[in-house]
Amino acid sequence: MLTLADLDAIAPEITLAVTLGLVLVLDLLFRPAERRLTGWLALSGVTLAASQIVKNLAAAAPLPSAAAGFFSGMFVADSTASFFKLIFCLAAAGAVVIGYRSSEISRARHGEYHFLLLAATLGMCFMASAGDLVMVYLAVEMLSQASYILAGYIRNNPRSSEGALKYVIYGGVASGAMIFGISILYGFTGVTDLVLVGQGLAGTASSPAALMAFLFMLVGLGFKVAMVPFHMWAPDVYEGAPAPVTAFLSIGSKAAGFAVLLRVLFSVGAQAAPGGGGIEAAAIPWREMLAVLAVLTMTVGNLSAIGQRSLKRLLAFSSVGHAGYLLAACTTATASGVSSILFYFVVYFLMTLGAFHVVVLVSNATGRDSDADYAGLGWKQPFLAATMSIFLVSLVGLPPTAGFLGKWYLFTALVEMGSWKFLLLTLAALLNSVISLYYYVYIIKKMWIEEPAPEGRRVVVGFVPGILLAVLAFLTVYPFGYGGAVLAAASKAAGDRASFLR
Amino acid sequence: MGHPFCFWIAGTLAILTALGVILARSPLYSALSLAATLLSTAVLFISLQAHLAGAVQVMVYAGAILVLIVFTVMLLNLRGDSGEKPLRPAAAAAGMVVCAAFFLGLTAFFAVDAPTPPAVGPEFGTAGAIGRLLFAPGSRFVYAFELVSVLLLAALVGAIALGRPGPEQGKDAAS
Amino acid sequence: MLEGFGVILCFILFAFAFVGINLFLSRLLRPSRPSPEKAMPYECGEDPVGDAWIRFNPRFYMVALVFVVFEVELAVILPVTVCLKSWAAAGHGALAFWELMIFVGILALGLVYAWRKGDLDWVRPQPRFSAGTPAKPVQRENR
Repeated sequence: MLTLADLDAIAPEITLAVTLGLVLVLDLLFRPAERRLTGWLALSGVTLAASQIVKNLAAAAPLPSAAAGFFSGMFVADSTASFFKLIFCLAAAGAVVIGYRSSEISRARHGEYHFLLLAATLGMCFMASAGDLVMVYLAVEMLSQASYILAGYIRNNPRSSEGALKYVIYGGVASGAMIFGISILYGFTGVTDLVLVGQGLAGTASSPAALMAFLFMLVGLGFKVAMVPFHMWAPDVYEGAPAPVTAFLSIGSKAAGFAVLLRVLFSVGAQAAPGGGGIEAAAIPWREMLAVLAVLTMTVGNLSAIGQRSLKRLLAFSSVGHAGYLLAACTTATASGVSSILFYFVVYFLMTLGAFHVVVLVSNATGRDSDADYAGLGWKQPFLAATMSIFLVSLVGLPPTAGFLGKWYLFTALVEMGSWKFLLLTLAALLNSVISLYYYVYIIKKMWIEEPAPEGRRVVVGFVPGILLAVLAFLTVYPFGYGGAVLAAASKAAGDRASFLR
Repeated sequence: MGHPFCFWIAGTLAILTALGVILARSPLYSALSLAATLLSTAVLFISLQAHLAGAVQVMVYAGAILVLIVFTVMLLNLRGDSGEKPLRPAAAAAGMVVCAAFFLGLTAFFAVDAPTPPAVGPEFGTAGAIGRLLFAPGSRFVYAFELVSVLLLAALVGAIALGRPGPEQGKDAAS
Repeated sequence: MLEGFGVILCFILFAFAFVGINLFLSRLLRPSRPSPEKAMPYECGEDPVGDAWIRFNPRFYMVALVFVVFEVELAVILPVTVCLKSWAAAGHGALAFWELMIFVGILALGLVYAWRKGDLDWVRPQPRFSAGTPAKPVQRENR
C-alpha cells in the first residue's frame, strides 16, 4: 500500500509528471509565438525535481524502506538511482536551455518539444529506479517513444526523418528482443521482481536457455547505451536530430541505459556473496560476455569516428567509444567501479554538452554541419575555438581536464581487480584512448592551424550561451574545485550496497 | 492446456502466413497475411486460456494496428511493383541458412535442460486474474498501470506532433 | 470453454467451405469468356474514374492514431470489469474507481489536446492569429 515514505521517494517523478501535464495545458493556452515560454515551466519543474532528488540523496539515513524498494519492490529509490536521476535532470535542463534559441525547432512547436523532453526524462528516472522486469520494459519504452519523436523533430529535413526512421526500426527490433527475453525469464522463474528473478535463476546456473533469455534482454539495454553491434542508429540519429536533442540523448539516454543495465546485471545476472564483498556465483557468465562487448564497442566506435566529416557523426561515434569504456567498468561489479561510472557521467555531461553547444552555434550560423566550418575558427573567434578545444581535449582524457580524472577513476577501478583479464581490458581501453586522440586533435588542428575560409560567416555567440560555454569550459578544464566532492558523493551513492544487492 | 489439434492448426497457419508477410511482393498482401498471422496467434492464446491476451490481440493488433498499416500503405501509395529488384538466389539462400541456424540454435538451447516453469493455477492468465494483478488495491502493478497512461499520453502527443501537416504542407493542401 | 470456440471454428470452416465449393461448382458449369470489360473494377456500371489507388488524406491517419491509443486504453481497463464487483463488495470499490479515473484522466488530457489543437477537425480552420487573410474554402476531397 501507499505510504508517506513511498511518496517521498517518488516525489521527483510525480513532480516531473505534473509538470508534463502543465506544459501540455499551457501549450494549448499560448499563442504559437509564445509557446517557447513553456520552457521556463519545464526548467522550473526539472529544477524542483532535482532539488527533491538532492533532498533524498542528502538524507542522513537512507529512506526507511529504500532497501526493500517501494510499491513492493517495483520502484527502488536508492542513492545510486538518485545520482543518475540528477544527471538526467541536468541533461534535460541543458536541452531546454540550448533548445531555447535553436533554429531547428520552430517556435510553434516548442510546447511539444518540452513535453517530449519531460516525458523522456520521466522515462529515464523510472529506468534508474526500475526494480521489476515490467517496470524496466515500460520505462525503456517511455524513453524510446519520446526519443523517436524528438529525433525526427526537424520538419522537411530528410536526414532527420531518416535518423528517426532508423531509430524506430532498430529500436523496435531491440525492444522486441528485450520483451522476448523478459517473457522467457518470467516463464522460467514465475516472478518479475529483478532480485527474485536472479534468485530463481541461481538454481539453473548452467542452463543455456536462461543465458539465451538474458542475452535477448541485453539486446534491448545494449541498444539504449549504443553498445556494438547495436550502435548503428547512433550516427544517423545524432546527425539528423536537432542538436539539443542530440546532446540530451547522448548524455541522458546513455546514462539511463547504464542505470538500468547496472541494476539488471547485478540483480538478475549475479548473486550477492554472503559477506557483501562483491559478486560471486553468477548465474550467467555475463562478465566475460560484457568484457568482449566492451572492447568491441570502444574499438568500433573509435575507429569509425576517424574520417567523419560531420561533427555530429564524429561525436556520435565518440560516444559509442565512451560507452565501451563505461561497459568495461561495469564488468568490475564493485562499488568503486559503480562510483567511477557515476563520476564519469558527470564529467561526460560537462564535456558533451559543451561540445554539442559549440556545434549548435556553428551550425546555426552556417546552416550545415561540416568540419570545413571549423577551419581557422581559432583565428576568427578564439573564445569559441578555445572552449571547443577544451571539450575535445577532455573527451580524449588528457590531463588536467575533467575527462582525464573520469578516465583515471574508471581505469583505476579496473586495475584494482588485480587479475590479468582486467589488466588486458584496461590496456584495450588505453589503446583506444590513443586512437581517439587522432580524430579529436584533427578538429583542434583544423581550428587553430588551417586558414579560415574566406567566405566563412561569423558565428554569433549570444550572452547566455557565452556564459554557459564559459562555465562548462571552466568546469572541464579545472575539475579540482569540485571533483573531490562529486567523487565523494558518487562513492557514497555507489557504496549504498542496498542499491543493487538487496 | 490447449487442445493439440488447435495448436497444430493455428501454429501451422501462423508460420505459413508469417512467411506470406515477408514473401508477398505487394505490401497490401503482406498486411493481409499479417492479419492472418495475428489471428492465428490469437487462437493460440485463447487455446492456452489466455482469453484476454487473445481478445487484445484481435482488437488492438488485428483491428487497429492493421488499419494503421493499411493506411500507411495507401498514404505512401505503395504498389506491389515498386521497381525493387528481386532478391538474388545466393542472398536468399544465405538468408534462409541464417534463419534456419537461428531457429535450430534456439530450439537446441531450449531443448537442453531448460528450467521447468513453475506450475500455475487454472485461473492463471484469465481476464479476472489480470484484472486483480492490475487493479487490486495493494497490488504492486497498480503503479505500472498508472505509468502506462503517461506512456500512452506521450505516444499520443508525440504522434500528433509528428504527423500533423506542417505550415508548409498545410498551405500546400489549401491552395 | 474450449468447446465453445470449437463451434466457432466449425462455423468458420463451414463458411470457407461453402464459398469454395460454390465457386468450384460454378467453375464447372459456367462458360469462360474473359474480356477487358469484365476485368474492370465494378463501379455501378459506369466506367471507373481514375485509379482505385488514390493517395489518402493524412487526416485519416491522425484519427486512426488517436483511435489506436484509446483502444489500447480500452484493452487495459477491460479486465477491471471482471473484478470490480467483488472489490466493491469488499469495500475497495472507491479506491479501484479512482485508480481508473487517474488513468483515464491522464489519457483524456491527450484527447483534449488533440481536439483543441484541431487535429481531429476534418476541415482545418484557418490559423486564427494571422488576421487579415480571407478564409479560403478548403477542399473536402481526399487528396
